[in-house]
Amino acid sequence: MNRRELMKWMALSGAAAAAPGWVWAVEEGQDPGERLILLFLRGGADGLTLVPPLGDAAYFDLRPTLSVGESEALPLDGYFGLHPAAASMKTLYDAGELAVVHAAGTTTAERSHFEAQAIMEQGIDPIDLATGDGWLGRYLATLNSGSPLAAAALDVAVPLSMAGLSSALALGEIDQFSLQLDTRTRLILTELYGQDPLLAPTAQAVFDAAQALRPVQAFPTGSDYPAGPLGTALADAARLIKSGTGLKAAAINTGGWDTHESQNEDIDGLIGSLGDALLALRNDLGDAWTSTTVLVKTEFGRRAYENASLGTDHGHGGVMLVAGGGVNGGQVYGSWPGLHASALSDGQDLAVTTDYRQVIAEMLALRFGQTDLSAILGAWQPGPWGGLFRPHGQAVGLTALATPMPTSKVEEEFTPPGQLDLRGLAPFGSLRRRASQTLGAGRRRLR
Amino acid sequence: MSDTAPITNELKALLRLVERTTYGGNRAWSERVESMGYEGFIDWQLQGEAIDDGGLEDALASFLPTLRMDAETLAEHTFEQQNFGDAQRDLTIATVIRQVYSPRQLLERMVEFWSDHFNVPINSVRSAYFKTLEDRDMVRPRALGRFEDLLMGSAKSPAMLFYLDNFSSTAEGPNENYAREMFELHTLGVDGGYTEADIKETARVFTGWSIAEPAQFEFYSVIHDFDPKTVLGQAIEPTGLSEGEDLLRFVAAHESTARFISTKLIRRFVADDPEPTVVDGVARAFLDSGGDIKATLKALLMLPQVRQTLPLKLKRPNEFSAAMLRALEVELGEYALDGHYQALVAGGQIPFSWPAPNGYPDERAYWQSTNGFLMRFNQATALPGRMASASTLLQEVSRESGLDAQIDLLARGLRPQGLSRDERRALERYSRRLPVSQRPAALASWILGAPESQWR
Repeated sequence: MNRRELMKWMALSGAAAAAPGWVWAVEEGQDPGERLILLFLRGGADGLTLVPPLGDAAYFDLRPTLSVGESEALPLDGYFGLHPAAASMKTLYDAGELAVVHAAGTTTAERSHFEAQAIMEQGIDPIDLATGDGWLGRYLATLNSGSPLAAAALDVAVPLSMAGLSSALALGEIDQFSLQLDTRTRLILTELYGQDPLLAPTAQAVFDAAQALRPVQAFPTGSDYPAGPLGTALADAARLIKSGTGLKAAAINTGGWDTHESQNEDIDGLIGSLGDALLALRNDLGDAWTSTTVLVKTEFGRRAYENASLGTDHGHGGVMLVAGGGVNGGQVYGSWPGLHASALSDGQDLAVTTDYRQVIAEMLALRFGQTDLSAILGAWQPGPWGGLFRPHGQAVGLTALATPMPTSKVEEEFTPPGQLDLRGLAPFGSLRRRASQTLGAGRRRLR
Repeated sequence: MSDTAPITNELKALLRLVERTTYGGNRAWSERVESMGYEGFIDWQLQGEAIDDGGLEDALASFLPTLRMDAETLAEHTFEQQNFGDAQRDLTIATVIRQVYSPRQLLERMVEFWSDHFNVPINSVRSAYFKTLEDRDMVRPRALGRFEDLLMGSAKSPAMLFYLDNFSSTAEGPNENYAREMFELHTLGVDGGYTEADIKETARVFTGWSIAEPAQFEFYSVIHDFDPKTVLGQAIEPTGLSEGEDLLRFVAAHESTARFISTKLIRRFVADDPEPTVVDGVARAFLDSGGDIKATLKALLMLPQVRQTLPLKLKRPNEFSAAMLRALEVELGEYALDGHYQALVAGGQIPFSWPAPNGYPDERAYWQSTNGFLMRFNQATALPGRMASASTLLQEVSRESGLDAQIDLLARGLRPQGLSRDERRALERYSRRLPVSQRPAALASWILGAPESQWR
């Protein structure tokens, strides 16, 4: 945190303590500005399965068992299709509210998850130019948002893309973000944390966020979202937006895309619930969808050819999706490099023809009115805009779209229970005695 | 330690040693380190499984029967008798009880370290089955052994073979998943000097490394790639199984591996950004001892810079919550385990549940989140009140009459390195108008929730 940010923080928290109510709440009728939902598909989503290039004969040679057949794909533009589980995505695409950017990614081929994610989240390329903070955090730092809820990760931690922004919150699940302290405890903790400059901003942000979230928690959760963490996170993002608490950007992570083995067992559920969640969000947001952009990215696409495990290894070029009322959707953007041997990146992967930063830059310029991109993306220069977005404020008429029909059964992965099952164990008998003795609890002390 | 004696720097170093090598200090452990001295305490804790655990392991096994089932019995219990959740439940409960209550504290910290390093998440019934066996037969016995044995054990462990897909890798279409993460995450580190071509060649080296039912390593030569290979500039003759074994021995002893493991150990025990000179010293001990973990750890803890380093590590959620239970001297029971598990759920650190192969993060940048501190504040506030009758320390505090004596006693248990003057004054001020019966729990909550209690 630099000095200016610190001053801003102190002014903000002081105001928050003194204000009678929601001084930061957006005034009725005022343009709330554009909101971003950044959705990161962790693991490297297989763009060649999500948006198969049906018109490229080499695709079927490289993927003898894993290719999506022309008869089963949902046709997009005569060349590309969507995976059959992506019916909800198709609905959004057909409504002109979802666009695909194919053969997108990092210019430098980086096939480590962690390095590729670090590049994309910092808004750099290559990794040697690491800044330590995130492109989204740098963008949000340029705003003078008075809301304590302007930047939120719907996760247990703030992702690298938001790092560097001291006001970025990690909210986990909104309904669980509840502070259970009496006034006295809150006051003494505030006083004690005031003496630890490293932890003080976080403690203050916990107090402010817990208070600011109360009207959001009172807001009903939309229906139609697929069960699971992705649906919950997007539903929470919608509540933050609809309750008018000044959200500028929400970051969401969703995993499971690292499909090295038996890819077809998992991919239906992954793609189906991604599309269903996006369509549910759109219908849940109503008019707010016209000023919301969802940017979906992943660290890399997967190997052009399949492996013997019926999966795909780490590759290079992938797919980015943008959705929202301001998207010029219904199109597949980007120039297609082809999958013939001489066109492949390092002879093995889909090449990248659209730098992932080009999509970010165009979005920030057109939807978020950002004029100085160098503050966010450094010395890198974007090319001419590709027509992905309508300028902010340009109205679009939203039509009613059918709520998603679950297109595929979401595979029930094992998730750890929320509570320990201690049936049959309490009162623990000999275990209790032995454990407590060694700790020094109970009568006897360690000798 | 007397209440009035000044806390010397030497004593502070002893107390920091406890905080670094255990899941948190308390009165008994402060006394122990004071009587044993710095090196004596390290030597004692490095004995690992040779430390008398007072029957804890046997008691755990009698309560959590899947812990000691052999592979066949556990397979039958899990899959045929359809007790799908038992293995995960038992391993989770055993892990948190060991971390809080076992006297083999450094061993438990190293089990956690290697569980992160060779991360295998439990994300299916099958992976819970494999992980239970790996934890018991591979990680725990080798946690204080030699790095090469851990690496070899991990490479041949059904849990890892299944998680990183090597079990299905064949000469016809090698699966690169294990080969890549082995270099990047288990040995050399991402800048350790391997190339994409090395990953491809290494994937071929490991073709045929797979699993025989129900949970046995097996090398299937029919699917192994018997063409010659070159990895890290070394020509590999197509000998079959020994290709991979020789390669693992080679990378285990590689200087990049020594630096990578040393950096991670220092990061776990001392500070997020290890000083290069400290890394040099620890890496030398790693190489000189042939990757002996005890020797490496001892060298690390004995380094003068490490001894003098102030508490710079933000406790991870499990360290924070375990430290509360240990400091309060809470008897094992339903509330203690439930409360601790709630902290892990809310804090995002359920054992064996990090989905990616790199393991739970070990840096403040990740854990210093609003979500994390919400959990800390709520837990620190709720736990002492709920645990009052199970906490030896709080029982004793409630028998003290004066506020001064109560704060002194709490400080000895919860903050052995001493309360700052400001902290003490604040505690006095805020507790003055509290009913006497509420004082012990409230004071404990405030000390445990305070910023000083978040660092180790």
